[in-house]
Amino acid sequence: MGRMTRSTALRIAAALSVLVAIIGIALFDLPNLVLGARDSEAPFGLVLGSFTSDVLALVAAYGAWRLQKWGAVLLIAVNAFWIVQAVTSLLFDRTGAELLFASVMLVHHVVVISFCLWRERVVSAV
Amino acid sequence: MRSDAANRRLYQLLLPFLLIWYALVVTGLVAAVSTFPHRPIGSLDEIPWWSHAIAFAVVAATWAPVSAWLDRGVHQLAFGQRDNAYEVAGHVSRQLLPSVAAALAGTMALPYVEIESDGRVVTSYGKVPQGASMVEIALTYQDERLGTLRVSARRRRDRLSAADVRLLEDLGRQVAMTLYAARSRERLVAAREEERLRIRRDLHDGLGPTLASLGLRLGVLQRTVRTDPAAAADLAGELRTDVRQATADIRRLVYELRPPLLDEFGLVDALRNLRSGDGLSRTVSAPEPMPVLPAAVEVALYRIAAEALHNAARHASATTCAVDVAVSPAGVTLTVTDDGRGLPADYLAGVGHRSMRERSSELGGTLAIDGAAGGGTRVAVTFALENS
Repeated sequence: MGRMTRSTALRIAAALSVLVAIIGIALFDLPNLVLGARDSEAPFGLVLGSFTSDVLALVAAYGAWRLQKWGAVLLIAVNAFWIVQAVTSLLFDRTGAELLFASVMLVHHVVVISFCLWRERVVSAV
Repeated sequence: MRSDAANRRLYQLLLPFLLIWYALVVTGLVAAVSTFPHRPIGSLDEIPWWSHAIAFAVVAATWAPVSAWLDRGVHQLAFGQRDNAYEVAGHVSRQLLPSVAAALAGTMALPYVEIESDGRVVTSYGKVPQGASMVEIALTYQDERLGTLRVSARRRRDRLSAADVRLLEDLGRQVAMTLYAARSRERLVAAREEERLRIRRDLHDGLGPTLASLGLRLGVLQRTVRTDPAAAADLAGELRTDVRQATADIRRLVYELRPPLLDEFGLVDALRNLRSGDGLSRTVSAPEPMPVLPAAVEVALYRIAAEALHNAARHASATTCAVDVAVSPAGVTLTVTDDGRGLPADYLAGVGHRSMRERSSELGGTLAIDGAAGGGTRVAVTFALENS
């Protein structure tokens, strides 16, 4: 496996997840939460789910940054959920911009999960 | 072990979850590609059946490498760095000593505790109050100075009481044992890895090229045996010498792993057949029949006895030596007593003594080197036996 240490891989995964979670909260969750259930542009259940997953991602990123096992597991779970969202978006969303965003997010989530499962080069027998 | 059970459960849950999730994601991605010309689709029913067939084929084709990769990754996540011996040994010393320092500070209400070894601060806890005096306690284990425990007084312009210092000296012995254990583990792991590297080097650089060269020259021999029998005979002679050399290399390698005498004759006869390098006469006494000992203990006893006999002959000018093996339910003790000139007053442990001490400590044994009753030197090593 690669030369990057496990701690570096976990910290990169944490930083990437924080970035995406903050983008999600700032550009999607908060504007829709402020509008309220009635005026929200997206289904309000989806907004609540997205906000919950973003907050969970921030908590998981904190744990992963501190090299905690629970942080890495939670990060995997949140990103696995996000991948399902991205694939759904690829299937059902209409605009090219949405398609591009879902594709980039898909790659992002796969990279984060890979980093959470990163295995350092092992000192092995002859 | 509770954490072991939790780790196992995490591994058992996360791996199937990720494998199922992988299959679903591949299905979704193939569906996204197969419906791309007609996107966006209105419902999942619009996904053609052959998209699922392709997804199934992709998952089947990639299942082995992906599941192996996920398995390794989840195993690493659940069980940590068990495969990496250096990392584990490092963790032990990195985590154990800070805990000891913190516990010492907590139980004795000391604002600052520092453990120093080999001239560097291994760990420290808390802050030194301004103007507080420091107390230094030497950390020694088995007559070896391992480091220093430094603690500060509790308040400014204050000193620790004599009772505090006595207690710290007692606790210092525990700290020294912890330091010793951490060091031993690191040394043990490093020694094992070095041994592996040496064996690999010997096989790769020594035997490998020799055997390859033998193969090539046997080909030449095959071609020339009819056309030039004289040259072929010369070549066969050279090949014979090389084969002998390779055989000697293998014997040396095997001997260094475990002395063959131990397997051929058993520990007691192997000790009787030990060569000390000159005409040192010896008596060997052991229980009859000799109980079966763990292989590692046998090797350690044999090597320590060999080193003690070598020292007796070379440095102590001894003429006779008594080797005694005593086995009790608690453990096995080897004592080597010589009639030489004994240990000098300004005796400093050399490479041989350190090697004996390391061999004993690797297996949790205790080694004592002191003067024999009638002059000379006495080396005694004891290993506990597991069934005791």
